[in-house]
Amino acid sequence: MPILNIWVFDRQLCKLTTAVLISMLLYAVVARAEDLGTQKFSFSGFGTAGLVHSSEDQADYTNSPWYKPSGAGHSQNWSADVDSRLGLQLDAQFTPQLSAVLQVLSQQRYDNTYIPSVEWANIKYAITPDSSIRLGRIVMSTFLVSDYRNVGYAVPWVRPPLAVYNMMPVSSNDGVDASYRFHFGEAAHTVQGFYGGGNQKSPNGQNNPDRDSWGIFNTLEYGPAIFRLAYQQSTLSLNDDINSFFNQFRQFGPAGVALADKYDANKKPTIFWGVSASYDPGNWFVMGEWGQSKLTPSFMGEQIAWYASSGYRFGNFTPYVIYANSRMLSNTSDPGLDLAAVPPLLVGYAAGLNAGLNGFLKPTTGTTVTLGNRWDFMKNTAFKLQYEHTALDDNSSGLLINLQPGFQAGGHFNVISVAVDFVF
Amino acid sequence: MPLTNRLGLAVVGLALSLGCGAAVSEVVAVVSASSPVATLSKEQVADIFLGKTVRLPDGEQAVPIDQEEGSAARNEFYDRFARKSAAQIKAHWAKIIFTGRGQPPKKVSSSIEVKKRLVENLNAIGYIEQNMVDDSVRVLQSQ
Repeated sequence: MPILNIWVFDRQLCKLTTAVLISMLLYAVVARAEDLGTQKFSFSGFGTAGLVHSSEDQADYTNSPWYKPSGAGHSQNWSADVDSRLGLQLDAQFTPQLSAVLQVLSQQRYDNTYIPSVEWANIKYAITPDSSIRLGRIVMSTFLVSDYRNVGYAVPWVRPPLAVYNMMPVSSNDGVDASYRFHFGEAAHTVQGFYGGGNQKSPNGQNNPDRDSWGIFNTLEYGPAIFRLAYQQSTLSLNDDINSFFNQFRQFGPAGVALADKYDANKKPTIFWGVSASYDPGNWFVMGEWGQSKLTPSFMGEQIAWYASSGYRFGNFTPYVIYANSRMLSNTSDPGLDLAAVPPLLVGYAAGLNAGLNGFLKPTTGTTVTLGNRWDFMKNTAFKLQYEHTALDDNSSGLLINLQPGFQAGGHFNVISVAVDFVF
Repeated sequence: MPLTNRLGLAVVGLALSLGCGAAVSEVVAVVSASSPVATLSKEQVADIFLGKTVRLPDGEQAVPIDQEEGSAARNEFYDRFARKSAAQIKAHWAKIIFTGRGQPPKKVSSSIEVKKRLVENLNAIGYIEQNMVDDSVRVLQSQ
């Protein structure tokens, strides 16, 4: 039973993460008196205070459509929930080889609270200065700025482009990770691989565990240029509401079973590959990412998303622009059950299921143009102002959530964001 | 009004240019006079201070000695060697710190302190004002 073994392994990793966390805290308390002066421990933090307004008042705009319950537009005219967050981090260096990191993050959760959660808790062993192994809760380096996507101060924009960064929304996993960096000439190449699993709760309070996740990330750095290739795979167990919806098709004979098998996403692997590059010689930058995600056969289907961005630094001001686009490669509708073949008493029910299925297949794609400015107005603090215009594809509701009856798919909307990012 | 505005601007401009002029003599990268390191390019020095390289050319682990944030020498050093402002350096380290991948170099309070550290550790590398250079250190890059 390999699946069972993996599950047990994942559970062990979860326990391990807890153990890492507790031992770090204990060590911190015990060692505090004698070692704090020698910089064995360092404490740091980051945060964003943001407000967002969306012109679409029949739906909510959020930066995390999978895991957040509300946002700007319908629920709130100006929402602080989209970007506001606070992260605290404790780093411990036990020996030159052995270190540990604990990061706690508070942001709007699935249940609309800001209860802090452990984003990372891992121990790292550096075999050489260029190679290391990490164990515990680790960031998933799926995208170019995945590692620090929550640290507003470290990214040029208010938030990474949603179309790309929500293709694989899971940000951290419990598992193992190994990294090796080698140099040739002035170039450095880092190969990183991870294996693990995790869980995220959706706004209905249900769990969305991912198991058996693994990935390989290659990063080539040459002076101010970075080139990256990523491959990642994860098996999602979707929550019960979605599963029970697709299971209803199974009552309709072989045709229904075929539909359920085709569109059910439960325990099927999601595959992602991405290419990204950035060039930042000092006064300006240009960067772009292209990714393709595939969860087929399932209602999630197959999609491509990419963005290109550039900015120029005028002293403390860095105006920037982003162009982002996403599109579906798989079908975005299905005739569903043949109503003529369904017993007359069940036609209404079957039609309802067909409508539900086509709801799941609706595209989330569109094109977004973003203009913004970063102002480094004081030490360790940046102020950002950003305007985005999104044109949704036909029948698309984009990455908006809480769609109201008055919502019209395939339209346009504008989003204005202000944010203050800080690190300490 | 326009005249006072222009006067105001002129005063600000003068203050700014004075501020710049009073900054520092040129900042140079240095190692101990007894260090085995013969030469490092501007890019190699920048990579060591930005954590992109952890080794010296002879394979030893490099130990960069940084100066306090906000000091004129530090701003000058990163501007000249890495073409980055203090805010960009902060953002660079935020990326590394908040991914648990490392910590910025140890900081000392003055160029005199830098020279003390270089004498203590042959793998250390620092930066000081040109007019602080003496027999205890060797300049790597005077460009």
